[in-house]
Amino acid sequence: MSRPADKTIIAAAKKEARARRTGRIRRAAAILGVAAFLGPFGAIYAKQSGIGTQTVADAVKSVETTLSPSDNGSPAATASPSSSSSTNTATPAPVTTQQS
Amino acid sequence: MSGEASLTFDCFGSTCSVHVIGDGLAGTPEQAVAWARGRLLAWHHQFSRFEPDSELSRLNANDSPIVHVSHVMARLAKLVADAWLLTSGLVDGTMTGAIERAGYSGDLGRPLPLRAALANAPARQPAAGNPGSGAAHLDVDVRARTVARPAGVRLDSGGLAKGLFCDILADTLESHAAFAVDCAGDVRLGGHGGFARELRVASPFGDEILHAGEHAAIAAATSGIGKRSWLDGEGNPAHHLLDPSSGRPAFTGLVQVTALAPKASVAEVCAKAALLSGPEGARRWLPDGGLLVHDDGGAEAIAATGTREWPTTRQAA
Repeated sequence: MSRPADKTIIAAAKKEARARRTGRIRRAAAILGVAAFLGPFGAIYAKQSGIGTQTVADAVKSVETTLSPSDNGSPAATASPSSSSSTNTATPAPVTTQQS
Repeated sequence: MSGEASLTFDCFGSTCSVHVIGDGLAGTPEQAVAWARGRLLAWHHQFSRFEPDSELSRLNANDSPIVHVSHVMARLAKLVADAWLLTSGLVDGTMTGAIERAGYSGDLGRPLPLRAALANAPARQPAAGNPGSGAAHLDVDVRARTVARPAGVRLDSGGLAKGLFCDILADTLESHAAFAVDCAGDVRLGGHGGFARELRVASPFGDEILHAGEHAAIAAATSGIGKRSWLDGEGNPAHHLLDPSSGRPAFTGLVQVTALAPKASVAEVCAKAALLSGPEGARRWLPDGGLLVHDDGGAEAIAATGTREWPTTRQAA
């Protein structure tokens, strides 16, 4: 037969064990939730990187850099074409619609 | 504004060009124009009816009532079906047999001199739809990527495909500051920067520019009878825009129509429908404006009304 003091110790131990289990479950749930949320983004990021295109965040940063006032219209900001077929102009080139 | 990367190249039996300013989802401007060029050249082989191994040729040769196709092919087939419904059969992308019988079954070479062709053309009259067309029975599920059609119905990519390609490229290039895609005359302009670009309309009678305007975001398509033309077996002038009701080249009194629209595929449908309707009926197909060129060379600018008398796709379906 256990004494009242033992019961108190056992109850405290059980309470502590329960708190540990609850903590583990909470952490696991949080990790799973974050992974489930970020996973698809990571997959898309990896796919975009694999095919040589940029993520939206990179694209926005690049456009902001390209269009910043400091390089507005300056020769240094002019893109150099990777192909001999490319040309550079300071303003959008005109396009012509015609029957083909 | 930073510089613009541009590429001009042969494609679809004509010339295409792509212009991009600013980085975006397709990378740097140089990467973006190279990517767009690669897509267009790939589509050229995929959608040519002159290449026996193209997806279009394999679809047309397939006897199965339902055929699984690529996503872009499904979108083209859906566009063919929608265009037929929207225009009451005027724009019919299933007239492959008729165009071959009319004499367009390979490279055409130099076109006929337009004024001489017009002088020898039959009496002018507006075209009309063919209620018995195979397009009426075209059933497309874009999600499932299936095309169902009666036996013998063959799709012709034609101008509709070029408009569609412009729109598909635009979905990605919209993330750049400015872009222009000229897909053998079908044009799409846009970009988030709002930069205005000059859009010109070429004359069907020569190299001169008939009209020019500045736009930041718009689509335009030009349909005409001057470029893809030939003499048929009886020595009569022929061209690639057929009257669906007769299966013969349409001479309506208009030699060229340019249509403006939010999307290039819509502009292409509008331009064709307007040209086939003739001078009296053309305006109703140009709710976003356009340019008519009459047989006598006279150009008539049509202001945008925003009034669409024709049904939307959903209403038509």
